Amino acid sequence: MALLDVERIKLFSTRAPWWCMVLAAALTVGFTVLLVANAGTTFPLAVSTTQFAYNFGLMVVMVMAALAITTEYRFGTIKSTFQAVPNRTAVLVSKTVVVALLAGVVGEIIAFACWGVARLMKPDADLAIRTASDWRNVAGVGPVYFGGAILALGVGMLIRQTAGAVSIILVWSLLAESLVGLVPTIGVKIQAWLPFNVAGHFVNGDEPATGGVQGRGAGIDFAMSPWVSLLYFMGVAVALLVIGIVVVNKRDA
Amino acid sequence: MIEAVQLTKRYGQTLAVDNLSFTVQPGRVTGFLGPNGAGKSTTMRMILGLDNPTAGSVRIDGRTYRELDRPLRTVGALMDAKWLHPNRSAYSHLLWLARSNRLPARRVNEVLDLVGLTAVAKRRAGGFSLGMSQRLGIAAALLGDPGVLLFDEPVNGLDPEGIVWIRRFMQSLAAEGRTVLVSSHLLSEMALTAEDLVVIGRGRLISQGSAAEFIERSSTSTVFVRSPQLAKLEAALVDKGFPVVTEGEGLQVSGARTEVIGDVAAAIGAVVHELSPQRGSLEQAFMRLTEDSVEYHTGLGDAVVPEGK
Ligand SMILES: Nc1ncnc2c1ncn2[C@@H]1O[C@H](COP(=O)(O)OP(=O)(O)OP(=O)(O)O)[C@@H](O)[C@H]1O
Ligand SMILES: [Mg+2]
Repeated sequence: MALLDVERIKLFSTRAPWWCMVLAAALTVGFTVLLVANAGTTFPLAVSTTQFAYNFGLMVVMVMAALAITTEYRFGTIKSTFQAVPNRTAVLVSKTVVVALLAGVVGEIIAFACWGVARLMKPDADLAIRTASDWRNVAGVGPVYFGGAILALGVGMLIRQTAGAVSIILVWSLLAESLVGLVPTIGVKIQAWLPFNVAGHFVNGDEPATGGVQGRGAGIDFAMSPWVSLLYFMGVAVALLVIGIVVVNKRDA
Repeated sequence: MIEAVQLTKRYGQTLAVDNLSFTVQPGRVTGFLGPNGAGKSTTMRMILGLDNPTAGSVRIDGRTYRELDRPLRTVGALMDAKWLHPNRSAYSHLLWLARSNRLPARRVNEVLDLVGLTAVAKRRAGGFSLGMSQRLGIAAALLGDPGVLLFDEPVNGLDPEGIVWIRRFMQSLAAEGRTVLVSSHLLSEMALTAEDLVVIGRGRLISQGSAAEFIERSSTSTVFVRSPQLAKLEAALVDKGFPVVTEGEGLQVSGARTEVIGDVAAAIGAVVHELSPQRGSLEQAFMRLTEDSVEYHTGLGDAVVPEGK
């Protein structure tokens, strides 16, 4: 418990996480406002449409998570940390719990904020959350942010440098997983197994195309059900985290 | 007590620490001396469990660092004053350290008081001067009231006032019975601070023992003597086997203490006008000792330092 407290103090006694949280919310809600404002007959509003922009916040939250570990290397505080607590696994697990939980809570707040804003803007649209799929659409954003933060922490532990870690995370999630689809025939098959696509499948379910907008994962034939998709995404994230922790234990601080 | 046994650390091709064994005793300041790149910081990082030794081990009161429970209560260290987040306040920095070892928050205020930083505790540490950062680092080292303290080049870059403060501080810590290991590349600084010395060069042990003894042994002492019967005295001294060099109106005699020269003069009935021991500078002595073990030679050799007192 003491270690969770330590990581909480560390996280909130610098400004970066606050900025990241504000930016994540502003980007996601802002984009949703644009989208909802343009909704009309050609592009009907649905619960899933209100979550279309969740990726913006996800990117920022993953950057925040990566920063939580890379700045410790950048400023040498990781050495003070391991000096105070030689059990590196305990330190890194505590950091992951604090950062990932924060990411998850931020994800839920952003998701319901986006949905709420859409309802306020279009009171006539049918935006009630009724089905299990509706719930997954909105409340599913939190778990994805949670997993994304874990994955980003793992990358940060392996790369250590902010620029490198952030580049990898952004290129991977924004570019690489989409570009694989360009490879003829097998590209789309591979895409169905790439973690961020799979996470999108969890949120969007089997109807990734929301109205006139092409949602993430449109055209991909996913093999897993939405809930297994979430497990798969979490599995990849935790695997990276475990590799990160093993490597940090092996290497010099 | 700190005990290093055949400690070795290799970084790729570089052998940073080479089969190094030494002990550091409580109740006194021990200087850890070596030229740049000798392996002082590497050794200290291994003591703290931050770097893993390639071979050998180092123990603190019989246990390795990683075996210590809540280690800040046993070992405090100031390795680098800049190991802090620039946007975090001094207070928050100390608070998370205290929490990590379940030390009361009251301790944070106590150590801030001790190093005189209470007034700036809520300011971001990134804006601190080097002297203030150094004080904050010392506050962090003292948080757990540890019996063993490590300081890596604590006076580097400090003004004379800061240097004197740190020197007194370390000596008072040792006087309280703590084990204090402080690294430096300046023998003159260690001569003023340390009672014991562990001297290394290129990762290898050069000498371990009392500082006074090391200085006595390593600085070549000559005696300057003037006499109206200089030629007679010179002959007598050469006869006794002492190397003699004429200098101005007198002689520089190597390897003899003043008493011996006085006796020789008396025996031949020579009058002595001056008999003064001369000491080569400590830095010269240190350079001579570590000559073979300095990693980066300047190529200037011995020519740079004029023979001085
Ligand atoms: N992390 C590292 N990776 C590679 N080489 C290293 C590393 N740390 C130290 N070295 C090398 O090990 C040797 C010893 O370095 P170290 O910093 O321990 O010396 P030092 O005695 O503290 O020197 P200084 O007085 O300059 O602080 C040097 O050759 C240095 O280049
Ligand atoms: Mg050093």
